[in-house]
Amino acid sequence: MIGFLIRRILAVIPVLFVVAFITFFLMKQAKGGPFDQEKEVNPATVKTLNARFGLDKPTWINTTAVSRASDQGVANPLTLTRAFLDSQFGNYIINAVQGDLGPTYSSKGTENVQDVIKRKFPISLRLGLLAAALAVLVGLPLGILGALKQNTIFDYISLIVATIGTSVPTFVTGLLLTLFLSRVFGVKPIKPIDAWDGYSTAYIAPACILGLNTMAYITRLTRSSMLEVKRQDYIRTARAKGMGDRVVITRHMLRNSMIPVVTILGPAVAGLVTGSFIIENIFRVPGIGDEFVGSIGSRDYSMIMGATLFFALLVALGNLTVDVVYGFLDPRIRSKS
Amino acid sequence: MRKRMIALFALLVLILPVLAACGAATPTTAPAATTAPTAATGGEATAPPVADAPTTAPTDVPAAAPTDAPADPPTAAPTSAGNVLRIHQVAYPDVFDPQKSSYSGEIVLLSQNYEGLTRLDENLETVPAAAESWEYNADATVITFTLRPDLKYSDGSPLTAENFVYAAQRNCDSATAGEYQSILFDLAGCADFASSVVTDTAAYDAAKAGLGVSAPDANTVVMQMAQPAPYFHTVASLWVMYPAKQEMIEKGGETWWQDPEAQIGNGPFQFSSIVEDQQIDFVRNDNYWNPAKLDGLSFIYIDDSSVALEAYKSGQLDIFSPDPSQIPAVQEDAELASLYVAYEGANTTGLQFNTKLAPFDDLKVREAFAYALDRETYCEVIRNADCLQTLTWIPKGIPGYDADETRFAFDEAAAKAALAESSYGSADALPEITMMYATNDPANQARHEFVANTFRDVLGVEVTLQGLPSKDVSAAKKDNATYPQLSLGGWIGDYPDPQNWVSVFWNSNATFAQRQGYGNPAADELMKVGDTSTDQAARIAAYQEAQKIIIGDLPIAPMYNRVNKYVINPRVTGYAMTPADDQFPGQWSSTSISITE
Amino acid sequence: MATTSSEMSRPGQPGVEEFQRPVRSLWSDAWGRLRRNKLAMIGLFYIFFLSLVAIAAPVLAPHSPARPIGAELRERGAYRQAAWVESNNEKKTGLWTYPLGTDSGGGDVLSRLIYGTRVSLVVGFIPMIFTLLIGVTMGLVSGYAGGALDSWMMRFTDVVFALPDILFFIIVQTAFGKTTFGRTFNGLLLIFVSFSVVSWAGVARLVRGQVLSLKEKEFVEAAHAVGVKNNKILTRHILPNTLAPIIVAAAFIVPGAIVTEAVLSFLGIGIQPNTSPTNPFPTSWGQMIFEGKSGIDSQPWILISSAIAIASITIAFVALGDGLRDALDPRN
Repeated sequence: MIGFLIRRILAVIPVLFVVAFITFFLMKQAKGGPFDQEKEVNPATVKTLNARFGLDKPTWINTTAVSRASDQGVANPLTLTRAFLDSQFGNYIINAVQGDLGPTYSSKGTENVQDVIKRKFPISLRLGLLAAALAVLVGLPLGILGALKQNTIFDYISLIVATIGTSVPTFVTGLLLTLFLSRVFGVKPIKPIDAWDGYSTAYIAPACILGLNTMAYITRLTRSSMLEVKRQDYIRTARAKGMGDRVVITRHMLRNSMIPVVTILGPAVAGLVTGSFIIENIFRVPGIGDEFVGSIGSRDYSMIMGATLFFALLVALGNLTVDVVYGFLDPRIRSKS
Repeated sequence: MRKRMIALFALLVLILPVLAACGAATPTTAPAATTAPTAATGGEATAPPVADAPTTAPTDVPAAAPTDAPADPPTAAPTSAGNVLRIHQVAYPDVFDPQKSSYSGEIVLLSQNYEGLTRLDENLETVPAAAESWEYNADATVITFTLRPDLKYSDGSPLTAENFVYAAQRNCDSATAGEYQSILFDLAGCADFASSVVTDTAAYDAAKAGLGVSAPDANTVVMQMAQPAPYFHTVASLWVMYPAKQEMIEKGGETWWQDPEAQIGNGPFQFSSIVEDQQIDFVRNDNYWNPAKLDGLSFIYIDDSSVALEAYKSGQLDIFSPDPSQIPAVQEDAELASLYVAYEGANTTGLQFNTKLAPFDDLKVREAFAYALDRETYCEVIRNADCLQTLTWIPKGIPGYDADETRFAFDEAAAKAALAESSYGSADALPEITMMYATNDPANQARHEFVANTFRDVLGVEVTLQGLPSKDVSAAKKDNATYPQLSLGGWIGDYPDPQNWVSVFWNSNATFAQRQGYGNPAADELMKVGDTSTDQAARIAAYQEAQKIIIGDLPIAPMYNRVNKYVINPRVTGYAMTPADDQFPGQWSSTSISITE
Repeated sequence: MATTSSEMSRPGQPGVEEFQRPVRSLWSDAWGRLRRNKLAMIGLFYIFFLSLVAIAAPVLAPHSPARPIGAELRERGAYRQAAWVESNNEKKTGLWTYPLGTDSGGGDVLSRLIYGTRVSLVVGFIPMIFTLLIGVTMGLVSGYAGGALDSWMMRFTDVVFALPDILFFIIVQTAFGKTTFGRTFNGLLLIFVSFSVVSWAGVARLVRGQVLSLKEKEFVEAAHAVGVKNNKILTRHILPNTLAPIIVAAAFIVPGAIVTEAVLSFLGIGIQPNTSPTNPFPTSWGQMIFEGKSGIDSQPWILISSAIAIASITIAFVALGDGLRDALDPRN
């Protein structure tokens, strides 16, 4: 079990490296730099700023540094390798491994990416967790009800909710909801300053919208797995033994039909936590997603790289939990990999 | 089965605290959110409403920058404001450090907290501020400022000439590398100091010592110019000359400016609380030589203009800046319409040609395009009266404005005739024409489609539109090789002197003119007169003459001046509107604003 | 053990004849089941209807989708309200000439909505084909070859799965949006490609799983035994048997792609403008949402109509996808 876990965790590292490489490559294709202002900035100033952020180094590998070092008689292979990697990408990876994602450009270097993540991510995390909680708390009962009362009005309601919930994009529902709330209920828009600092009512509307897709998915999943379990022999046996409806449902059906739902929760939570940019944008939630969209517009390379890596890590961890939970539940998978 | 139970249990353990926290937190929120809690009512996504066609001036505000969480617990949003003016702002500023800031949303904050040697009054005249007087030498190469006696910072400590010397030094310092460094390049040695290398200590110290600013005594600041600069007393009013305290900057490091305690100022107000992305509060500075009438200011940041409109309607704002798309909605509302003010701003936007590239190397083609522009319909319908049409470069309200300019007004026949007279002869003979614009503002596409459709219908010319993120447009316009054939752009004044409009932009050695491939020795000659003469009337006449030449040469076909537009609560009085306002009405003389209940 | 109709035309193939009857009934049974699913049939009908609207847009649209200038623009006005909304400003009050009002540039909202159908359908179907091509090929090869190749390919899909997809689209748009490649077909090509690059991995895993189980089945072993070549086994025996799940996956890829285009346009980085009056793709629903959101206070119907259009097309595709899955999976 431990070996399996370690292997799966180690496999995340090359994935993150490739993600970093791809993102870095793509960002380098974009022409505008962080210091391209609408108003002219003096070239000497730009040069100083570029040097401060290491943007004067070559992009991938630094061959001039190597030849300079070897001209100076440096033979230590470690020093030479470090010189070879004294590039924008090399330095980035080396610092990132040490937990330093570099200064953000938009703060003019006054703040590091990891600090921004530390500050803004809790808001996105809270939003994502609330959305996940909502998805489970509403999705599960709805799915169970639908399966137990198959082909009744409850079933149809749960089916319609599930279909609309999975198919209508959240940004459309979000936009329509905000329009509706302000036009029909005249909701007061300015929130108290600390609205986002802890769990508060401010999160409810965005969390509902964000959780809608997942909720609908859980409803569908619960319903179909309940129906599947309902047909199993052991349920029939239990009933044949004269067990009451309530006992059969709680002891046998619920417990077993829950398993597929549990397995999707890891990636679902990761998806909710990382996938909230549009919702954050629409509801003006000052979380990491909104920050990220802004950083792409302002070509804040270090913020883009840092956020992408961080999100990739979360998604990879979410996928990892599925494997682990599966491995936990089903010994065959563990032994196979 | 047992393992499965453990998994389920583990999951419950994970979810429970979330639910608990959710339940516990709900009752603690403010009573304001009783109906239903939502932040947004929909509205603009990412673009600040001021973001226009890519103008070369700082209209576009990048994404809000991260700053540290506030040190003090935030004060509650003022619902009953008392004598505090609550001003709507769109984008939270990146940096508000006098020698590093560059956007008007940053400068407006600094200008409340600090004051330069001079300042602009309600007529945009340069008047005494921290300095009670100034004097040029005969050829305007040395300027001597005399400070008011007994100046104090808001904490009561004395403000002396050394503080201004430090401001100039810090601005020109290559270690500071502020984006507006070059605005002081008229100061002797500033350009050298800005390009010195910090690690080369000897050269760096020499460059620092060579800077032409000194304080012979506590009340006198002497500035040595690199060349004659008779407008420099106006430059001395700019934010780069605000005397932030050296010990605070050195103590606080790079992020000193995030702490209101460190931003000890000499302006009419004093930072009291900074809550990132939400609100910045000021209290009156009673040590200021001309105490303000208001008790304080609150800048409230709402980047969604729909939300801001709702906030205004529910009495949470005193001044609201509508987005152009909201003007019809404001004017349909009888009450809002009566409180809506719009007046000209110190900015000009026009159709910028790349005169190095065919077909715009041909003056007749440029004339044809200039004549074809239906500026009035554009401002009235497409921009919802967010602008006023113009045919000249320096905007109304700035010295040098030319009210008599009538050339190249909308005239379809003249447009067709000019194209026929061009070396191409007809629309079919023209090479492919691409017009570049920034996509950040959702309204920009419709605006540029109007322009492109105009050229198709009037001239029969097909113009390809190329929409790009604003950073790419800026990058393309920065490079002579990639400067677009056609684009909308222009200038927002830094200071109300025609030198900032004419010489800084159109001199043949100015980067802006070079990118468009413009330069005219006759105009340069006139600019030289304006830049060096100490006779103000002669200066303005020279710049106006130069402007006439430039308009005739058509490197740009001026189109419009965007208006400053606000919905102002009637309890606010005493604001002096100037074209230089672009954050709130009367921002340059906020001491006179008051609130009557 | 079902094989498909493609094999029925070749009765000479070994091991085929005895499977002919169950084959025919699988597909016709599926169609029968689908026909009985009301929701799916409504979805199918709606998609068919939208396809007609897309083709007949020039006939159906009351006005040109292009934005006017001059006198016509002044007459229409920008942000004119929907027909049933009155305004104290005579230039903004609704007229039945422009049923859903006009947008920020004086464009007729209804006409633009009708033309927008084209982009949504094209943007839904073409990336779906790209995605299937890449995903099915990768999945087939990976699953059938096994070993090191399989394990490398699966590691590669791990990377693709870890890429946060919306982020990836945004970065690709920013990186390539201004290149010639990014501008082909008003930028539609770039959207197609970047969408396919991210979404093939799911299809590949699905197909690989199918192949892994099919590989062990008797009919494949039988084919091996009689000396059928590998590529023939793949295309003739394995691929046809993975078709059912692929079709279901395809039905869910389409709405995903439509939403992606809408989200990108909503962020201002979707399709490029093209003002030529002959351009078949003048605007998209996503773009209308983008513009409509900023004009929400002055003319809310731009946003409302385009949001409803997007919502209904995705519901239709998901309903159809659900129906197909139920129809093609005989276990239900």
